[in-house]
Amino acid sequence: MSSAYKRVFKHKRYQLVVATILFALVTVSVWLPNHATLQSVFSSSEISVISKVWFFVSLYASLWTSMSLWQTLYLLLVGILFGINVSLIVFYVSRKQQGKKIESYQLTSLGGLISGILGIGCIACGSVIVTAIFGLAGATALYSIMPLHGYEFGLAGLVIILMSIRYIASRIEDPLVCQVD
Amino acid sequence: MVPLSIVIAGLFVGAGLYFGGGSSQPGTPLPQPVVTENTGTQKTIEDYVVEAGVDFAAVQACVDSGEKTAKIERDGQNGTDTGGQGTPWSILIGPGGKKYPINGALPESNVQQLIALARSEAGQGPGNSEQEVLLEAVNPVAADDHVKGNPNGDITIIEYSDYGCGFCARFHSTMNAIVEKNDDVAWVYRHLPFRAREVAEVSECVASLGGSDAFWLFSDSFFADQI
Repeated sequence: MSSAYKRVFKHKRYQLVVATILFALVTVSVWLPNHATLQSVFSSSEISVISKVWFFVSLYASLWTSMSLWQTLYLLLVGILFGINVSLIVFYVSRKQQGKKIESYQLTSLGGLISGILGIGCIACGSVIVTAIFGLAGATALYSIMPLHGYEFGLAGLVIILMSIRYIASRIEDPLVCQVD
Repeated sequence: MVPLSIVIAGLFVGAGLYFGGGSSQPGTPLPQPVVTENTGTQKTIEDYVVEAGVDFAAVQACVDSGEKTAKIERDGQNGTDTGGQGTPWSILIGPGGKKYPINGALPESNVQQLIALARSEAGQGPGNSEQEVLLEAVNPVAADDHVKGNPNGDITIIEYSDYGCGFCARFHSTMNAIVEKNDDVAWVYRHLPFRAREVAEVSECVASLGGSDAFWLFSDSFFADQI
């Protein structure tokens, strides 16, 4: 199965896809909790564009102040795995030229990402997304009744993404032949 | 490659569960009374109280009476009313009354940038966006609030914090640096205790019995050991 990865990632563009998705996920994780602050900074007419850009960029340092080491590693892991997953899907679809057809593995991959993101904890000492959806009291109550206190989301996300990667890699290795009925 | 990925993922998740553990979730009480110092030694709540120069028996009696519960609940309610979804949650109030949210333990450089922004927008009053309207619910600074820095400063940063939150410990250190470097900043400490409510009660009793200096001695020392 490793030949599938070699076939895909020998192309620089797929490596770029992984890097882009990782960067996008980190950016969302850093900016989303601070969107109101960013809005204040961005809409201000009193400070220069350079100052605004610098504020946006320097917010990446909150990866170290607003997340634990393990939360940061988890975020990077989910980003890399999802990037690999998307690269494999793009490679497979473009090879088969299936265009817009949505197959089950694509939905699985999306489910993996959503579940994975639910597991990303940070500023609020918990999942950003879950807290945003259920509110603080709701998220606290939800975590308290879960055996692993919310880590289930992250765990499920990783498993689903890995399953999706494995499935697509095996499909890539299938020869492109006409099936005999 | 896939089996290797699974093994690596398993290691990450396992390590996360082991080192992060359930104790990092809201609602889990801080282990009491022993607190592990970053030096590897252990201290009790009593040690912190005594270091702050306050009699522990008196603090114990104060906590048992529940006389500080209302203040802590008022703080917490105000924290969530203003849009706080976790700790640390802070509101920076500029010279003209315009308010800026600070969600989480932002780096010192970002807080400094927000202070500079607030100074440059000194003429602006409260905004009317959805978030800004929420921020207007912040209670004015009261006599029983804990203030560090310049109480008459043009900039006020009201922080809602929890003694059981590691990120609050990091932000506490950041805020100490902020008030040290900016002589026009007043730092107001309020409670949003999801994990360490008992410690919040103790801190209020320390303040009541030993005054503002004792409160800050207790808080600085406690948070320094949580980083």
